[in-house]
Amino acid sequence: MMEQANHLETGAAEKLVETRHLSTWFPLKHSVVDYLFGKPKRHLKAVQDVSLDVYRGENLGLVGESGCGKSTLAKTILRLYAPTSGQVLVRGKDISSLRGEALRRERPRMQMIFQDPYSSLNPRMSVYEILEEMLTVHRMVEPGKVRERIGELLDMCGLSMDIAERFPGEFSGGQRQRIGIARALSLQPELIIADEPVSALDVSIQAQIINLLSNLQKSLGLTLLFISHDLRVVRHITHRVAVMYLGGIVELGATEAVFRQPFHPYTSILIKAAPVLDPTQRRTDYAITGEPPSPIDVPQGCRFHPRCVHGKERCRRELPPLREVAPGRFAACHFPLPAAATNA
Amino acid sequence: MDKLLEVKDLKVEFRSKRETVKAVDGVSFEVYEGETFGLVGESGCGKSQTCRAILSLLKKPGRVVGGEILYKGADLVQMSPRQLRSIRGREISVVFQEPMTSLNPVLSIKRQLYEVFPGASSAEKWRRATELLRLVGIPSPEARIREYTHQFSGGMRQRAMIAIALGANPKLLIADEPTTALDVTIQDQVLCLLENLKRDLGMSVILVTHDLGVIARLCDRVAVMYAGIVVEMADTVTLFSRPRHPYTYALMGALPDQGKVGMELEAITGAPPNLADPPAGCPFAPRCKFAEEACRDRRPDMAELEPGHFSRCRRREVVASFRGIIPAPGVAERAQA
Amino acid sequence: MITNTPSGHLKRRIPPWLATPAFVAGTLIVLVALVWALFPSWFTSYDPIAVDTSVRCVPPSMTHLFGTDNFGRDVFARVVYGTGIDLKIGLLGTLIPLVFGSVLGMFAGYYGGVFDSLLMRAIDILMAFPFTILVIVIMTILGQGLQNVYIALWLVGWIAYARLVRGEVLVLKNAEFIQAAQVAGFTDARILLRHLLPNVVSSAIVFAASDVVLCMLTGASMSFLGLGVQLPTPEWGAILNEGRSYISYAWWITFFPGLCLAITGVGFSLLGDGLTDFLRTKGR
Repeated sequence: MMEQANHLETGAAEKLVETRHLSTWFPLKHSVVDYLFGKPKRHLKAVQDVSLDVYRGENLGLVGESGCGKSTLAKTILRLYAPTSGQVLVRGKDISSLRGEALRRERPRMQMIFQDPYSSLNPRMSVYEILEEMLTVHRMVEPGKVRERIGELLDMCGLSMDIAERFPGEFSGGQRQRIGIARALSLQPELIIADEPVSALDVSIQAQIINLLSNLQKSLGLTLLFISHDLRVVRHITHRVAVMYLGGIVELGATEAVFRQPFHPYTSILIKAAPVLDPTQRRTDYAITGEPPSPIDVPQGCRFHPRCVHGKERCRRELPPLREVAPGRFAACHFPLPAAATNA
Repeated sequence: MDKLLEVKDLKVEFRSKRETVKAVDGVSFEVYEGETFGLVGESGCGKSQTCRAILSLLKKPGRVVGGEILYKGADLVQMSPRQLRSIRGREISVVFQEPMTSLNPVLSIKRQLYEVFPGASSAEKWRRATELLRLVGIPSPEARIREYTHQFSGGMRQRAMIAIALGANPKLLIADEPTTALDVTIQDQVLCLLENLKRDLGMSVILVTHDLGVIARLCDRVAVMYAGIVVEMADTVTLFSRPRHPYTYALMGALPDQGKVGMELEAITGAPPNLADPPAGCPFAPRCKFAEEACRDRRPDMAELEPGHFSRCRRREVVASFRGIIPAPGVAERAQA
Repeated sequence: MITNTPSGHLKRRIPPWLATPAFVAGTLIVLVALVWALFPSWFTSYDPIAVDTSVRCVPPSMTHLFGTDNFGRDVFARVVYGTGIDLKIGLLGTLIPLVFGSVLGMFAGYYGGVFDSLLMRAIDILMAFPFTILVIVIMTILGQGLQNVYIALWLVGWIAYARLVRGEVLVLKNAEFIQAAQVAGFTDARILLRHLLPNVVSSAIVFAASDVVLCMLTGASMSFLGLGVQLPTPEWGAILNEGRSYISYAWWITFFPGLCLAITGVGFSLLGDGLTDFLRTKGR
């Protein structure tokens, strides 16, 4: 994994997916009364001006708490939502305004693994039927080879062919996730977005699925966008990580570097708040007070400033852009944490 | 320290027409005054059912079919519903995982808090209710007390639940996965709160979780459960530095990010057994790297390996060599010397 | 390689829902009704509309199981021949609204927008009136006749299905497997038919089972009110109506069709309950 991270830093890698100033807003109910009173339309600004590059072959982590927009960003990239403004480019091609058949043609390139193993599979289709549909609709193999290919896909995900006739309801969470992974792989995508793929699983099963994803990435040369709120998992398998807060990316860089030495105050707090596996090192102070704010009423200036202990006047007035504060390290902060601060 | 709660060989079954599920199959542990006791295990291991059994809150068709639960010497299993009611909410309180469904959506927070103080005057109730909300860190309690569940965020709901649970000054608080559904920064706040409350009120806490990080943060002693039984029990530092059961060891090995970045995790193959038809011997044997024939024949007894440290594994020599997540105290000092 | 056996293996034996006596009773009743409807001549040799003034208002006996009416017609024969009509009203009166309403509801729920708003407003307006009143109004406008009974039932019946299915689709369209189908690039038609429909249709079918009873009773009521079937066609409601004036001394004319109506209604209800249990245990 380390070699792959290195080649990213030398800029030799190809951009697979690129978002440019991407915003996704959801309009809120605007009643007739509001209209008459001249109240402005309100929006839930789930994703706000995000420009992110995903390089081929990397495992990019996307972390943040509820309401930060990570899921919406992923779904916008996959065009489950249409962007409110900005662009999504896949292999250089702008897919932001594609619709209908043109959009469907681009779909096989990017697939998704979902969080909830209990609602991500159609309960009325057998495993065989689920995979068969994927293969036949996009004509991935000749009709005669469908059965064989299904066997291969299941095998790749650690499942045997004799489960194929069963229905999702008969499987455990871990097995369903494997089926979901097999489904995603069936279209031979270049990018797989995994939205909290192990959050709903027990620790011992999590490890199995993490290993599986990791190995599949290596053997198939996949690019992975790994969304999670679990920092431990992200630190373990991603090469780079992007931290999101209230619709924007606040920090971006090589995973190990970010964890050892975060530049954005929020990143540092996230790392501090995560429970440490050492009973001899207990904290009694809060990592941060207050709640993650709602993306409906976004503060002016830096979105994090109301909760930031380092906040200054400038933070309240001016929204800091995401800029490079060190080679390969980006932070959206007027006063990034000094390099001297360490975080193990 | 006095013993506050003693669970002896508790057995809980779920009986239906088709099968009988042995959710808890002989669990024993003690909780002392002022300590935080952790019950850790994965889903289906029986930790939640054990807690529900303590307060007789098992959902049908669950039933306690054996064992004793001694609270201050009296057996809760034998008590009448009236006697239990006087204990529930007063001496022993519960906080559940999903505050959205545990709080009543049609009653204001004020009403729900007031229910904890029957018999007090209005002024007294107001004073104590706002005090409780302040205690759990809800800002502007006088204003927020009139609000309803849906107006509170997840973290605040959880705090409100804790406030209600604390209302009658319980000696024992049972917290069933109190932070699982919360964001990490909110989880941190709730855990800090519990830690401070424990210290200030001198309460005992039984903390049920699947997250070893939470155990490390809050618990003094911990029992590891698997397939309805306790497989290991020790004080937290000992457990983390010297695990003595293959399941505990495997669980720790499966955790990501412990200086093994990029390497394959030691996943535990297979899945937990079907509790309607549990295997004869050690329930972990089918998945255990160190299992022998004898492990599958008879369930190992609980043995005290060192004072306060119990383990249910036959293979003493094997487990003696297990290394924990943190260095064993004493080892670090020797290394520095 | 994982070859886990899932916990909870399926055994090959009679599923519990099938074994309940209620469901068996329901099935039997409906079967009997179906056989009566399809092969009425097997059960009686009398002509249901043949008038025979010599045997007017004869009480039930071995020759006339249900007695005769004021025209000397064998009531049993009339009831048996009438079964087909009532069943048809019940089944056809439910089937068309089921299909039509479900499709409308599915589109409205999935696509939303103007179509959905219009549909909901139409439903809101129509739902302000009780079902039977609406049917009566339409019948009054259209005139008497079995044909118009069907039309009235169809015009009013679709609402319930549209609302039901729309509600389910609204919830289900955000389910992850639907999103997966969208991400997989499936056409809307495929998503609606293969993924959405099978998962929302079960509640519509369950509702239909009780709707059959309702349609049947409404059809019979229309005939009872003189709005439905033309005389002398035997139909249970019509027979009930005819027997009204003779109820004090020829109670059997009203009693038996009423009894059959009730029993058939119960039969379909029990069938419906069994269907609910079955659909609930199938899949997840």
